Amino acid sequence: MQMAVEQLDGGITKVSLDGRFDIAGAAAVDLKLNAIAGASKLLVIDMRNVSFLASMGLRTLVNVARTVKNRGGKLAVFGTLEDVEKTMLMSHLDSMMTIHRDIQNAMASLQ
Amino acid sequence: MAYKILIVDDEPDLELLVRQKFRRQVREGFFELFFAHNGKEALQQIEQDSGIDLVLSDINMPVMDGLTLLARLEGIDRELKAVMVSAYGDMQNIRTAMNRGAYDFVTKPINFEDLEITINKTLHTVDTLKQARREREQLLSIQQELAVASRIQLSILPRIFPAFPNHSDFDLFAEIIPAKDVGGDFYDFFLIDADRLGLVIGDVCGKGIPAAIFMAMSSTLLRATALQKLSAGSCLQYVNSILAAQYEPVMFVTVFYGILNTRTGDLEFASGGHPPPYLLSEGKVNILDVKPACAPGMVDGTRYETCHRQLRPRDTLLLYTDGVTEATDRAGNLFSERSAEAYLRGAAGLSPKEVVSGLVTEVRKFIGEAPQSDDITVLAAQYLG
Repeated sequence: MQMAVEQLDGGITKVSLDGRFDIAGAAAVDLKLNAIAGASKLLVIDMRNVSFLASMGLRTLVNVARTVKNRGGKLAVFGTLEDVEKTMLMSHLDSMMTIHRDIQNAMASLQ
Repeated sequence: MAYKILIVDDEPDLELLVRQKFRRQVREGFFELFFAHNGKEALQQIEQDSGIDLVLSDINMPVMDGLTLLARLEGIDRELKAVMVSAYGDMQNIRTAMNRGAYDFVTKPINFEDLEITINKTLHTVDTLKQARREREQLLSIQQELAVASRIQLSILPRIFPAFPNHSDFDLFAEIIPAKDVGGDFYDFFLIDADRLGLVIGDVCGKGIPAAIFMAMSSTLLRATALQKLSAGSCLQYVNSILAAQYEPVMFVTVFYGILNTRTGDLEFASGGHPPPYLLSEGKVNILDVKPACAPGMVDGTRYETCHRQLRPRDTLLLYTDGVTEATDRAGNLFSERSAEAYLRGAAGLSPKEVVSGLVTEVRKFIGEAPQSDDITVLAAQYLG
């Protein structure tokens, strides 16, 4: 899985993920993503190109959500595909982060 | 440790010359030199001393020549390389030697500077091969340990059916097809008291030893807690409070826990992050309505709601893990809920054993030759009234 990081206005960090968020995908981004989560209070994750979300991917997202929350920050994701969103809802990840259709809504939720 | 070099030549003068040219390496403990006068003597030495790293051999010798020696060396299972010494321009013998597995060659008269470079290069390759063998052996032993871990893990699960031959009020069956790597699926069932049957299915995140340890811990904790006769929701809440108290990074287990009252048909249940089970009732396939909650281990303080559903006699509850719906064929297609439901619609009237075996067979057929990436686990329990 690939990831790209971008600083947006208002102190928001955007992380774009691309690929299958499975064991291999999680291993590829876990450390970097957690380091970013530890350094940014307002985080949006672009999930549009995440084609599959497995349990290790969920684990990475939970860790990121925990890190952001522990520092008093906020996490929003957007653009999740139907199956990915279903997996997230089944695990009640919407209790740890907000899930949005597009980046505008995601950014607005952080303000 | 010194590299052991065996020099094979029928000319007695060569021994003196080599000892003199390499006296520094011998003195510094870098080389240890051995000598043989023909192929046969060389083979005897190699048999006696398992540590020979390099054979430097002439081609034309009495008793056994160098090319025959090379052919015999090939049968030795050891990281040992041969460098041949041939007459200048004897391309035919050189080609034969190379084809028989010689690593390199030098020509007579021997240029010792060139020979030293050749020897060092060859020894470097021998080192690499030895290292590869050590790592291969380590890997094998890790794989064996993993296989043992996998067996221990499966032995935790109740696997004898019929599990409760004295009970005519319910029937159940479960099957787990482990993936090649140690996975984290499990199921469990147990009688809480005379009328109540506990049913559990779970899936630990990740694979390998961490998942195996966490799976053993979670399943044992869940059963021990369930036997305290807590409600389904309270049981998961307690399990979560223990699992979520761990340090980062989190591990979690998706789990469904149901309690079937085998006298009244009441099903009490709670779920944490697990795919909702199917309820097969009078030829219909319904998805059991579970309240979404985080998988135990994810978030401390999560509330797990206890839900109820009244089962009718002959209703079957089917629990499964995502290894079923996310089973993938060669082309990358998922088996999906749709295929599972299509099979289950045609499974009315079947016993738990028939439903479970049938569904597992369907999934395996779908996967075909593709590698099975995740455990496949199915448990069916039928209320007979």
